[in-house]
Amino acid sequence: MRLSFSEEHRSLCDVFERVFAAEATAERARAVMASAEGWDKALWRQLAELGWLGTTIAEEHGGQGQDVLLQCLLAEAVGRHLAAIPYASAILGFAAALPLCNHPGTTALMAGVVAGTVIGGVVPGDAWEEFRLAEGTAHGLAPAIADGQVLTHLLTQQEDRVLLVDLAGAERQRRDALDPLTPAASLRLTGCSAWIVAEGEAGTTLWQCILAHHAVLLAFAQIGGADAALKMACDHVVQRFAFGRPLGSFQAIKHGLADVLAAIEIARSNAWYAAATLAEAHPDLTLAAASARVSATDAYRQAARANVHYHGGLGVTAESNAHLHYRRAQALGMTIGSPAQWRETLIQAVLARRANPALAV
Amino acid sequence: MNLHDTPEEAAFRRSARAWIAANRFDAVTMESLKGLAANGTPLPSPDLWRLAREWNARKYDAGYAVLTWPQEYGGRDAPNLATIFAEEEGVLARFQGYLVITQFMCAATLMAFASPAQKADLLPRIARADDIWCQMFSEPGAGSDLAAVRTRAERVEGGWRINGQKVWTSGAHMAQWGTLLTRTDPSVPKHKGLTMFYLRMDTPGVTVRPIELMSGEAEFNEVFFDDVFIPDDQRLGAVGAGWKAAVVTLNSERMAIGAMLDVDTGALVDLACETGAIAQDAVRQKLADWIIAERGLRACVARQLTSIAEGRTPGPEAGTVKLVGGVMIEDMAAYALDLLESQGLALPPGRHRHRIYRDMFHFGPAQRAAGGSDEVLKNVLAERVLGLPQEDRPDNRMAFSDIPTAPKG
Repeated sequence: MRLSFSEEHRSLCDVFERVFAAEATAERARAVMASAEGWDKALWRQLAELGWLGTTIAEEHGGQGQDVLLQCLLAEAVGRHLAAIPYASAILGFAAALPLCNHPGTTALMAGVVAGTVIGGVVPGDAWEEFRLAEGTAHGLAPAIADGQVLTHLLTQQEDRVLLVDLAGAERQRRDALDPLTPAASLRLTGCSAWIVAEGEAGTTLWQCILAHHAVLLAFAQIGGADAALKMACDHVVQRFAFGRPLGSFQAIKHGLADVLAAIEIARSNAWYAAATLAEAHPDLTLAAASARVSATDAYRQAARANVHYHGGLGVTAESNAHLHYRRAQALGMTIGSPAQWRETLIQAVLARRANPALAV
Repeated sequence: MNLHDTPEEAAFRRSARAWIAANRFDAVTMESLKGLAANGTPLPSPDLWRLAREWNARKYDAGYAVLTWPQEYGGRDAPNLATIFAEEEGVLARFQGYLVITQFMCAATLMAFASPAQKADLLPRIARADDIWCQMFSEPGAGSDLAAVRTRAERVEGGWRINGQKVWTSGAHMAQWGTLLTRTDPSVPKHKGLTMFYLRMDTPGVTVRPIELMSGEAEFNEVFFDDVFIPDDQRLGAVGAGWKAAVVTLNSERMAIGAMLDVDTGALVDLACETGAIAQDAVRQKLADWIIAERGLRACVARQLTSIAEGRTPGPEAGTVKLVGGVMIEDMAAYALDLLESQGLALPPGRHRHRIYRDMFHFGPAQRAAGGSDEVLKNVLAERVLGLPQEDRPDNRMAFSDIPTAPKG
């Protein structure tokens, strides 16, 4: 087994991150946060023009046709910066799901994803308070959808069906988002066009696969965020003096931050292994994705909390950026099922394997 | 990223599998090894030592021992092949634990500092485990603060005279040889006055006394030195450069223990199913967290091995494995005993299958202290990886002999 990213992918990602870091500054995110629109449309357009929204979309649809491993690294790079763009929903969720769907309705959207005009989401069935499909149209209400204000489409699940919904005509109400850098909204569907992408056993399998892909890519974004929060904390405790010496020279602080580092290393290891199972469509994907999901959520939350805490009073002010990681870390862990749900998914898979050794990998 | 063997690895795996099937111990012995774990001993200790050496000798004669060693010393410089071999060995891979100090730590120190003639003499016997080595570092007053060792080496005609005491010396009761960290100059700061040697354990004046642990095992020892003579050509590195030599050993120790660490959540899942506790959400959530951590640790080791295979030095992940794994063993052991409810309070005689949780319970705290305590590892991560400043350490600035060792008055 080899767990490492190729030099080629690393250098492509470096090129991307240099451009991205120069644009996606925290100052810019905060300005967007205060605006009526609530998201950084200009940055999104810029990413589309540079071709970075269609990394994994096939070249025949205008994308770069790169493999999912590059997408993992890009997710980590995006996660390191506090940008107000719907990257997690649209690219790490929806765009990653499109090639898995193999349906004319989803394939037709690929070019739009590359161009930045189709902004999709992946919404679990339990996000809907009500949902009904009638003669090719969807009716329903979801009270809290991340990036709901800007989504044009979504993939969702109802029992054993995977559905594609066109959100043209959906009623949206802006909501007070847990992550202030995402324009969350409630969605009311009153006859939106909808297609059954897959159903029955194929539908169940497809949805699991969509969630696993999303979970792994999100894990990389979460690890990027965790790295950034840890770095912010370290920078602070080196600069800040108390009792005549740097705060970061006290073991109580050092050990707290070393624990964060250890949590990130475990998460990163799980994520790298999960990336390999994605790339190889390996049968261990379900367990690997759940492990990456839970440990990356824990790592980002732990890092973000430590960062707020070691900033002292400053950490809880609106002025500091520490709360942006703190809130984002919490929110990213909730978009496609809480850590508790993913732990349950994992234990079910472990017990199924235990009962049936043929499932062992 | 590649989860599969390369063609070379696949061929190695096939030949290793066939060789292991043909050369492993007889069926009765193999059956008695069931349940052998890094943290459990189904047979009496001397039997396990004997079998560990015997199995290694068979491997050595067939070219399967010390696969990670550099080629110039008879290895294949191939951590990936060592991993594959261990995967195929199954329970027999646990025997490597008995030889880690000999074949990784002491061997690494010899490779770095011994003369060509000494290496030619000593390393092949280490590779075959004909000789067992121990490393005599910790002392009653020098554990986490290792540079505080005070076992004294004084220059005499042709060599050095050693007086002092070591403690927590794993395997000293089985060892023919050992490496020894001594104080040669107490008048300079602590890290500067140290020198490393090696010696035979049957040298006159050396006394080994096993220490019984809470588990009843006695794999650690005290070692006493009374006017022990070591010839100067058994010095490893320059006089006063012992700390540098110790760091070579310690780096290989942390990695070796991390790689050997066995946090097997399988036994805990088995127990939760057996007791019916698996039906409870709280139990399922807890087990899931440990399974996720175990998978993370295994992937972490795989990342380290990949780094080495690609010619890079492993990063901070090396220390992480021991840090996270040690606490996990302690936590899981307590949880497993709780799952047994009142039955966990006492075990029936003999090798009962529940004994493994008791073994883990006893072993966990030792794992957290050995090879750098949790706190020392966290300091290393914080200072070397995160770049946080060292705490002010006045002892580093004064002569070793002036450092306080007890409260004033």
